[in-house]
Amino acid sequence: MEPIKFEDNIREKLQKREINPSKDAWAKLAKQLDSKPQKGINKPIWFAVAAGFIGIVIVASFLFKDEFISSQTLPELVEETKLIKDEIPVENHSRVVIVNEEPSKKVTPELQPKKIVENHQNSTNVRVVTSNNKTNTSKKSEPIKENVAISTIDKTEINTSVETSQEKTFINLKVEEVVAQVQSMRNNNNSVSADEINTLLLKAQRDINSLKIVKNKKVDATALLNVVESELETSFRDKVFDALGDSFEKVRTAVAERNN
Amino acid sequence: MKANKGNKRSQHQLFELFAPKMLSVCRQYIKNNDIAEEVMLSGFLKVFTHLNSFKYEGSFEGWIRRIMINEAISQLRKDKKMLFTDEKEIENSKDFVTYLETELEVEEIQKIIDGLPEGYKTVFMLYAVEGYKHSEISELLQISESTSKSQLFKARKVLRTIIEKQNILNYGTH
Repeated sequence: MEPIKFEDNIREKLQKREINPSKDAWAKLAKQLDSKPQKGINKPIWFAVAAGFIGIVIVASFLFKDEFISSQTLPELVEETKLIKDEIPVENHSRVVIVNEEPSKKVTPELQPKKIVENHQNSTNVRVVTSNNKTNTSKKSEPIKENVAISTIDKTEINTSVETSQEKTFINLKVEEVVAQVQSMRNNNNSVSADEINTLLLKAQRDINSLKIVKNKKVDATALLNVVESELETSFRDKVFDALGDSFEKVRTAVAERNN
Repeated sequence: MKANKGNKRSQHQLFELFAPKMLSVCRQYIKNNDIAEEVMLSGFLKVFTHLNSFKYEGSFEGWIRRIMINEAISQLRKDKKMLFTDEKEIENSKDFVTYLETELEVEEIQKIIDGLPEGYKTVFMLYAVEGYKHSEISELLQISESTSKSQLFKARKVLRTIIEKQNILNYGTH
């Protein structure tokens, strides 16, 4: 007879063994089951509640999305306009240029930097307009560029008015300077050639243009072009002639020939 | 499964089917019959309230059996009856495998097992009867594997002594 391994023996016997519970065992368990809620049954109810809540949140976010965005963006535009106005003291409103700006619309935050760039461009344009009548008319023929915000126009108008008064003083000085030079040449030589007068006028004109560029503080392509071409402005030329008087007929003639 | 939806009749049928076997499992670990039955009822309560957790991967009886063992161990832990001394006497554990001259009846076996300290008995039953590995025992009882091995060694040593006293040994130590 083979020896019996104790551990195999107890495993076999114990796994086959059955012990009947007491008679009231099920009653006790049933009582406990009644008092304890079953997790499996409650799960779908909680899932339904959670799903309903998520649905409400999604729908609400779609409904109030537009209102939320508009309420956020509108005040920013108004704030910017105020800032620009505060920066520049208002002195002169005599040179108002056409402005047909509609009341502020809804603007998204992404569009705002672009708007500022446009404002800067327009401010330089207006400066050119005040110094040169020819460019002024050309600017009027471009309606798209004239659609500028009111605040920006105020700023540019003030700048141009200040600069114009300074330029006028400088031009008058130049006129006097040219007249003095012509008179001294006339006293010395008794006659002044057309070329000599032309040279004096060109030099004076270059000085005026240089002053404009320095005051602008920005490299303006139009002003640089004017320097290169060195064309005489009609207003400056007329002032010189008025100062010299009728006796300088041949000066006028020389300039007229040069322009032709 | 109707018992999953809280059907009392189905639950009662399941209880009638498995309760005798599960009470036997609980009795292996718990000396007192009444306490063993309380542990079994507590285990069935978990079975019926966690039926959704059963994944149909193993046998349903095996799943219930594991729940009963866990409940029994929780009860022993609650009563602070399980003490594990971490002694390093694990080298010759297999030398203490005991052989019997004649088969023992289940009542005799239960009596011998009841004579073991709770720590030894729990590790021995999990290893020898349920077929758990030392790694599984260490995780279940929250002890180290070496402790599990030393507890098994000591349990076998004590069992041999008890059986020798009853003069039912066949060849003794191999």
